Amino acid sequence: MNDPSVAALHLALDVHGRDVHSLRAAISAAEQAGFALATFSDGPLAQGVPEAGTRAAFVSRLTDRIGLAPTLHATVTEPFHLATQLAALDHASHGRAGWIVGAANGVDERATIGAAPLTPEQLREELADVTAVARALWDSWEDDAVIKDAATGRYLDPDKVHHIDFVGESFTVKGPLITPRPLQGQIVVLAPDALELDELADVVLIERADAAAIGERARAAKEAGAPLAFAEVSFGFAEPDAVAKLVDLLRSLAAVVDGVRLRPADPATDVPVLIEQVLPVLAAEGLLRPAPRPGDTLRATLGLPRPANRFAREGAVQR
Amino acid sequence: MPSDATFFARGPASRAPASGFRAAGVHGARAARPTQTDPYRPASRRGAEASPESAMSAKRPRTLRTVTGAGGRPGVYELALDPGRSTLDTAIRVAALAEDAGFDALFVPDLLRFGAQGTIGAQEPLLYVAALSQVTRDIGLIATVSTTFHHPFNLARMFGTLDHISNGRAAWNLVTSSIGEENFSAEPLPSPEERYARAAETLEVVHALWDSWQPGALTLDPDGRAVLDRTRVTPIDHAGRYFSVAGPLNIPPLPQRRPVLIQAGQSAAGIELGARYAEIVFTSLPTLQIAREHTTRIQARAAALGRPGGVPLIFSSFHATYGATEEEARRLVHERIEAIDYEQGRALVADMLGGALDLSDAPLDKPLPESALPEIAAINARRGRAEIFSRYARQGLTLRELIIEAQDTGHWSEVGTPEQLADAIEERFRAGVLDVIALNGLDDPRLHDLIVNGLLHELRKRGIVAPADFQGGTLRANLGLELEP
Repeated sequence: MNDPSVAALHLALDVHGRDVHSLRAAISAAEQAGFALATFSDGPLAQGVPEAGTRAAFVSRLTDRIGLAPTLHATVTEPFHLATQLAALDHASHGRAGWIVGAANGVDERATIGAAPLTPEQLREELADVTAVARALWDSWEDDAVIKDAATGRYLDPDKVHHIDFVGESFTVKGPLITPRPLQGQIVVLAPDALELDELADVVLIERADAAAIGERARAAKEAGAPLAFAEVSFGFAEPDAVAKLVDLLRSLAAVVDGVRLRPADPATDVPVLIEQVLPVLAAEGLLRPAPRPGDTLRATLGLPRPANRFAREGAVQR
Repeated sequence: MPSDATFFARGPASRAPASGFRAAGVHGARAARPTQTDPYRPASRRGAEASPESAMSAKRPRTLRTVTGAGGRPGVYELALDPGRSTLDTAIRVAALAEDAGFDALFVPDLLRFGAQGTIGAQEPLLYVAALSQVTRDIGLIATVSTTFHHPFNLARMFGTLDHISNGRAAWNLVTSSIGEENFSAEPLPSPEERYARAAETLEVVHALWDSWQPGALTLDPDGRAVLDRTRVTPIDHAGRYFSVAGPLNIPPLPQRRPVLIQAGQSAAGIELGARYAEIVFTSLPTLQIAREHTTRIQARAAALGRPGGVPLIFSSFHATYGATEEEARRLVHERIEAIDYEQGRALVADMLGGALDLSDAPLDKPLPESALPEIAAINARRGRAEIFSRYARQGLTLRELIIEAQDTGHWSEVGTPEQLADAIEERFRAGVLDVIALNGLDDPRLHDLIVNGLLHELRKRGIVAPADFQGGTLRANLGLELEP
């Protein structure tokens, strides 16, 4: 599904909903239309927007194939809670969780936890530490840590559950996680390119003015070790030739990135036009990846392998 | 104002007003029956239940309210063996069974440390409860969340969202955590006094945040579009010992205004917090005597703080051994006691007594010497539990008896047929020391039958548990609670 020689796009959609009913309708429309991933934007001070992780959990059982990636802000959330919440989302959704790394760092945003903004250097360290600690916690239970020994009533092999003993610049975490390893092994981490987390991310989200600049940044992300690069595309259909322009843009992006995250200006009117008028044209040209099938994990949909567990012994058989 | 301002606009408006408490005496006609005596319970616990009728029954909720756990252990591990299934599957199945059986609420625990003695949390409670909210319609959703490792602004957003997406079914079981500090910093666990002081300040902040949108802040114009009056959304400007939070909250008023507040923890500091803020307190009250003392203490303190009579409601977990016959129940208890690993049991009792003592060489069939018992004030975690077990030890229970007791970790345990168990529940309910009960095990078909068709049926026949109709609209209304100012 992720044959790099195929210039076809994974599709992500930033999903909105004016209330719980329209959120249900929006996620359902996105899944029906074959999107690989729904993203849930958020910020500690986002006006009138409910918390993104809770929204993603809310739709986890209304859906069976679309990925669910909330923005959780590493700068205002305890790393252990963040890792645990994402693991719970992955369990709840049968392996469809993603995480958009949020880095809210404004004066008012940081003030919600009684803190001052981080310096650029502190911010980079904090984001790298939180991402690293989440990844370590997701590995803290080996895949075969869970056993069933009815005779002794044991359900766990204690040798396969590990402390992570993480010591970062501003926090420490001993671990292990309280939940078994996420079904995907590692949740799919999507990092906005400005955060410079390319080597820790599964997907780098690239925001640039045109396809050429996006392509250049995508190459840099791949060189740094990111498996996938997606372009951030904001769209709307207010102008008369907007449909054709968006089709052209996505055609050119298909040659330089692995996927796009589409962000509608007016979700209620723009998403139906996208689904009815834009996507069919691209699909007919073979520029879209196949829609996920029921039961697919997000990693499977994106062609990402299930990562080996860092704690598994040398030579252990990986699933 | 972005269009998302209307995300929640339809929540609060659709809610019926909360119903009030019923006056006492509605259900006073039946005389309390004595509990069946149980040879497997230590003698010192029997007969300790002859204190006068509690004076706390002046104002009672109409009926006993029922809760069941949707945490799913140890089944969680069996599920984890099958990568095609999710631990949420069990919770969803329990939720459906509980809603069918007319339970008032689902309970999801939290544990912040993986580890010893089977105390293993299943999943992160807030997201699991959010997932459960869409596969249930009426049942209340209780998430256990610690104030020791969360920031109040984040808590206000998470619980606020939960209350909105569940249409007013959210409850917060507030704990201060006795474990897990190693996952948040290199600092030791703060003392109980510090943890409860932080909890109190957390509550002051989240309450202010939930109230930061005044009535009328959000209205609908004639076209049905939401209109925000920014002058009615005001900062809270909190500056306290632990937090400084500007506010306001970025989420409109909650359907319940505040989630139902449950508090767990019955050390002196825990009782003070519960008396001051909680609508329901989750308790470990192994005997009627202890239940009476605790209920009197916390409700009297609440009354002294100016709160209405009868609050906080008393919530107990019921650790029952169910049998279709008395013989079956006794046989099951006998088998369980036979299977106890007394060497592991020594560590469990030491843990119940605060964890600082070593019982590995203490004789099993003698009482513990006074010198072995901990000084309560020196214990940093689960003091209330240590008080209960110190008291047992002073009553002369042998170490073996303490190990048997510790299997229920200080919770109320009973053995018998559904009718006998109903007697025990009725005794506490009539004594005014039980308002909400947790009945667990719906995912086990045998227990499901004994609980739903046996015990619940019996309690409904006696008028103690009402058929759940969810007429109140919100969880608070269904529980017969009124939000205090």
